[in-house]
Amino acid sequence: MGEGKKDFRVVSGAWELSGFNFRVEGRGMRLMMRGMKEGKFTGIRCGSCNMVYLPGPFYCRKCLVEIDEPVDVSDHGTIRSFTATMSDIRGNPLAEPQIALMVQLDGCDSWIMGVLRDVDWREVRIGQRVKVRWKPPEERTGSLQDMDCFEYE
Amino acid sequence: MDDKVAIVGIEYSQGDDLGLTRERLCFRTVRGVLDKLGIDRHAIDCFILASNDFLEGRTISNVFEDGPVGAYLKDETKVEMDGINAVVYGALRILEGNYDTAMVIAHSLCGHQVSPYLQVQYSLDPTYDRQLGLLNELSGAALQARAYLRSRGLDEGWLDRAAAAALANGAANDMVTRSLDGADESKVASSSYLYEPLREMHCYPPTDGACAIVLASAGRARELTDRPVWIRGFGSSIDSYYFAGRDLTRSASAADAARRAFAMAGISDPASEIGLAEVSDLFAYQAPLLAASMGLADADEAPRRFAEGGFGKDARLALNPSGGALSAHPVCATGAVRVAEAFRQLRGEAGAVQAGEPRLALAHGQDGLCLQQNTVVVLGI
Amino acid sequence: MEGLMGSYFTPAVPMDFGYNYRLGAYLERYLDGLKEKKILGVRCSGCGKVLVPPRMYCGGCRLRLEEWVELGTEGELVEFTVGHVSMSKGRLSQAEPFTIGLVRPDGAALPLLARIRGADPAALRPGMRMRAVWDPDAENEYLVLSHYEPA
Repeated sequence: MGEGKKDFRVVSGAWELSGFNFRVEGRGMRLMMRGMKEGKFTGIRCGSCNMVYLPGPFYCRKCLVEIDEPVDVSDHGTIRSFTATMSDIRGNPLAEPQIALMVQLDGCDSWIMGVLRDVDWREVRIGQRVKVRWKPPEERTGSLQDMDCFEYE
Repeated sequence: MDDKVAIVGIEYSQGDDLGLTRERLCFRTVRGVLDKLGIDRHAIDCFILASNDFLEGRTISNVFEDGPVGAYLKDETKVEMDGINAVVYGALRILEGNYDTAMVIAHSLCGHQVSPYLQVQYSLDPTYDRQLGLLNELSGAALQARAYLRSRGLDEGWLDRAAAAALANGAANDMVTRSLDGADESKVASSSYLYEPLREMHCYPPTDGACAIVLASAGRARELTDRPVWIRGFGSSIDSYYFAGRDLTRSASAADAARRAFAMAGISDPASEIGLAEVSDLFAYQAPLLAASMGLADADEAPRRFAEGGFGKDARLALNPSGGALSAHPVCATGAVRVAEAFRQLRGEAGAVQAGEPRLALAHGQDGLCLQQNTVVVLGI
Repeated sequence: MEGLMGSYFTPAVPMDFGYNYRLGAYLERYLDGLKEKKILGVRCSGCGKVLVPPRMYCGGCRLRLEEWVELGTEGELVEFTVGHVSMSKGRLSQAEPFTIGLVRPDGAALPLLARIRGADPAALRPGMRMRAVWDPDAENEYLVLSHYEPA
């Protein structure tokens, strides 16, 4: 700029957008959460290519057709990727690193995320078999929190 | 331009509130045009989305839309402007020679998701106009409306008649679902003032909508349809942001965009050669203003003739037989819808709003305040 | 799948973003001028037009603007509108009618958008002489030039 350092006058120009009224596809997520209350997963299968999605969308992204066939998905699966979180959201170190997983459940093509507990984070490997640890039935409400975490098979 | 790029299929819908998520709207629209053509998504070489991140409420919003538009693991890019510019970009990709087909998908959910005025509001200069707090899309349009009325010796009753004429066209159009029954002159005149002289029914309605357009190279077009609609020319132009310095009684950038499009199309006398024009008239004064600026009509005669229905479907030049953007304005899709309306008019498929047998048509889209940016596409059969 | 087809959630998403914009040297000087009851513009050495509010470049001539000009505090009305709504966060609400207009300060090529007070809108005509009314204590420094009224 050539002016060197100086105090620039600044004006505030907030973008106030709270008026948004989003609509989010809910069918597949509701189907999944309804199953989770019973301690199981329900996905949706594409009748054209047999892809199974969890949670299920209303269309198959490969075939571009509407899909609506509910299908049971196992609560056992295989680790496809993982990371260990050493600090909380503010950057403070955690007493115990938290392990986040991408898991491909048996009978499902898409992956879901979850937390792995009771395992030393240095020991986690891609390909390791895991299963869901559900909350006790009386604590399940039909929400994503019904799944407590993953643990080794 | 000779027979090089054609539009081979369209699908669109628009309404006050379509009751859909954006994913379902995009899916339904793309699926619809593919089914009409009897092809699947693998027949499309590239996908071009037109949407506005601001109105979507998330940035780089196309990353969420690859699935429902059929672009999963395909060539996909996005135009952050009115969808008519995505049509031009699609034509350019085909002319470039590496693509034989292009799918354009333009959409927005301004009917139920977010106020359409916000995108213009936050496009204004944050260090001046937004601090002063007087300028917005409606106050700018009102100043232009009054300047236009004054320059043509028109009163506010003319605005009522012009809006009623546009809305009557829209009411006859199955593709428009603005929930207005019997929007006659007195009903328009009794709608409330927003900024004088503009009343509520002189202004576009908040609208949900999506429009898919499939473009193809000459060879591929003839395989996909026996009635391709050819893109003959296109042009764009942008005026200064500072609207107060422009001559608001016309649009210099619309004139310039049209001049470029006509030159490419080999049109020397647009007023006699163009049989149909679909313009993005966001406010009741804009259709005749645009028609005159683009050389389609006489500047003095155009407003009266428009309000009297003299550019109706039986006229030598039909202007917005669809009802135009005044009947439905799904921001970003609006210009693409004009192209789609021109497509079905040229193919004689416009049903109740069919305007004779046009051979050459003009479609127009705009962005910015008071017609700042304009894009024109000339189509022929 | 009863009751699930076509259903959607409508989550509430808080989305207010704070931005800070630098005014830049031209607007800073313009606002400083208002405090002295002066309206400053800049003249383009290419087309000779005096632009206001001042900016660094003339878009038409692609020239940097260097020559500062003090404009008249009187000017002429170019166009006006009476607002019946206010817009907040994109939503319209009814407002007491108010007048805004484009007023071209004497010596300027462009008009300024400003409030118009002290006049019956029915009596306003383009070309009418207007004069600036100042509010040195305005909280919003852009509104130190408070409004225009008929001269």
